[in-house]
Amino acid sequence: MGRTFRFQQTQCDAIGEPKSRGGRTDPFTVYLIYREKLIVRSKNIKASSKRKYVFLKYNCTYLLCFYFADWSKEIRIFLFMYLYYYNYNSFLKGSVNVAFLRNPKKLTSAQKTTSYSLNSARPASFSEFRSRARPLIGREVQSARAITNKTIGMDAATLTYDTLRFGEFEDFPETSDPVWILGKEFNALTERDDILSDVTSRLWFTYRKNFQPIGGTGPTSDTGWGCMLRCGQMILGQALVCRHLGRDWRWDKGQRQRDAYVSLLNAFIDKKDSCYSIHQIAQMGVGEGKSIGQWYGPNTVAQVLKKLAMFDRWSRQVVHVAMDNTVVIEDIKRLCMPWLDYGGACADPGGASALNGCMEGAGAMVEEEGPLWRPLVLLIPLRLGLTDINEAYIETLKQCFMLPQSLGVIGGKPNSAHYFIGYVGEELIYLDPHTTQPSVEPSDDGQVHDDTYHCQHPPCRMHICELDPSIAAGFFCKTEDEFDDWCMRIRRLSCNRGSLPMFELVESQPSHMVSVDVLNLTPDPLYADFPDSDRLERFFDSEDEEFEILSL
Amino acid sequence: MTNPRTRSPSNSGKVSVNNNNNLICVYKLNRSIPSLSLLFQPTATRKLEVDGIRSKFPNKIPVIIESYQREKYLPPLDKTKFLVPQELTMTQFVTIIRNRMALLPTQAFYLLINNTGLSSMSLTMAQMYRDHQDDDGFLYMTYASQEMFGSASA
Repeated sequence: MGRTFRFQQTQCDAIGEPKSRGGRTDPFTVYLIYREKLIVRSKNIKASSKRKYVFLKYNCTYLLCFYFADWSKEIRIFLFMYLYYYNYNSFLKGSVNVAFLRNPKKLTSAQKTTSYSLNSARPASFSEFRSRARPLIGREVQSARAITNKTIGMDAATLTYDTLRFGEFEDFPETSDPVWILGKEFNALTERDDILSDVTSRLWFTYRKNFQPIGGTGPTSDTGWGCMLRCGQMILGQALVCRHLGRDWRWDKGQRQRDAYVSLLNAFIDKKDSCYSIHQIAQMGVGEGKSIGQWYGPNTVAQVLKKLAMFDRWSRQVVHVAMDNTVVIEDIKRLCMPWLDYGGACADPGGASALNGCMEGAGAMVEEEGPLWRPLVLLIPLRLGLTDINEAYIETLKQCFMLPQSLGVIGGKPNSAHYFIGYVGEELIYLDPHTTQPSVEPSDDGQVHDDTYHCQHPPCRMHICELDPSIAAGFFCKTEDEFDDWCMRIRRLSCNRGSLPMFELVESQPSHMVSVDVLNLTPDPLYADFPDSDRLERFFDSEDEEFEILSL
Repeated sequence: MTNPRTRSPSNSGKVSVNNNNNLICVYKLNRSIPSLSLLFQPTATRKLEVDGIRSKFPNKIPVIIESYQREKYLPPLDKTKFLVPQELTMTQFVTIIRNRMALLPTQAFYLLINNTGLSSMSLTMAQMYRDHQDDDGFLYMTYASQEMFGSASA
């Protein structure tokens, strides 16, 4: 009660199966599936040309679904739901894309527009929806709960993801807007399968339970606190995929796994000795002032990943976190090519001996790792506004997903972290860690049971304006050329008028950084020159507080 | 026209648009008392104050730095009003504030100009002032770190 309720297309899907294929009036059964779990089965629903909605009851939640009937196949698409009552947390826990509407009459016009503009093909039935939807009262609530519990108890065990042919669902709006996922462009109308396959191939890290206690005696599940840590794993996982398998690598379910892929997954498995496990991230966070179980921000997890990457002898990549919304090219080149004396010795042919020393080191590195560049994971923590994202940044944020070096963005909605991998129209596409799965033990034959590490249902979407302003954008540059290309693209973007750049790219850090001593230079010499009368006047002007005078 | 700096506790956190330059100002209720009284000073008074101080220190920029009202992780600054040399860059200025707060280099710290966006760190205070000064002559900045994410119900 007293929460904000919004109305929106949901990630719930429902299937109605006609009892027979005979005709339009045959009663059918509706299954409502949410996050791969059957929530409601409603039998003997009669379809009619007039009625385009159906009420489904779930616990104290009353669902109104509109549907489209496609009789040639199945009745299957329910467009949105009306959720009522306060006990929605039980099944919406951790959900983000399901929104609530308590009193449809109080919808503002803006909200209406949002919910309807998502799909223009919806029935124009909002008035109908509004007139018929009413909250459950008194006994209705109890009976609804009883009915639903019974239904779920019976069916949840028998119906699975596969039998419901989840993959046939339309996951994206029928739009001609391009779909951008991690630097690749797709057409939502013709490349639906490619989109799904690309999304499924991303590593999907979620809450897990029953893993080894963190730190020996700590929590055995990260439900409720680990979402940002999981998002950190996902963005780094994507970097490792790019590093070892390539951006175009696709996951083949059930196929024999490549060695690199197995090593990669093992780095994230929930064990204390895996390089980027939840254990490592949570414990390394202690150094960032976060005790185990505390919430992380995008910057926190970026800092932790930076430290953990130093221990990753296998990938040998550099994680750089650009602070103060500034990317300093020189810093990065120095990190990725540590064997080069970047301080100007290269420009001086006279310093041959010093140079030789460096080049020997470089030569050794070349033999060891091939290219003269340690692969770079660049994370840029940002704050794009105070409470809401400043709309001037939206275009730039979209551009981020269009860069070939993109690793996506970690961020979220208030309290819920997500890994954003792309956008379509005004919606961000993301992987959601808010599903608790049992932890996975590595098997003996060197293969990993990896089904739960890939998101096999259509990815979630949310409106870009709902994004919390605290984010971290990620980029991966495997070679120096890729990094130079990235710099070039960022510079080109920052020339765009009408959108604010999210961060700044500079060649080198200003050398004359202010030292702490300078700050305490008060009173200012200039100020001391003023006659007393002036000084008094100034104090009078701003009685409440005087100016602190900074000088160089 | 509406006065963008007439603030009251009741509209704290509310967003309104300053029609002059399309900047969005989030009116905030500061936790530090001096700044609170500043909030209620009429624009005219503050304008006079700025004019006075500008005539005495033509090379310094009057800046007001406030904490984001929901900021939980950064320590409060002891001062809100600063006179900053106009040739100082934003990088240097942020370094000053960071040092004041004794922040680690890895801690997130953002200065949002006029509550809207991040500034380019290579700009000087004079450039910032030219582009973003308020009607009353101050340059307003808000500092904030990052939000943390987790499920409140767990």
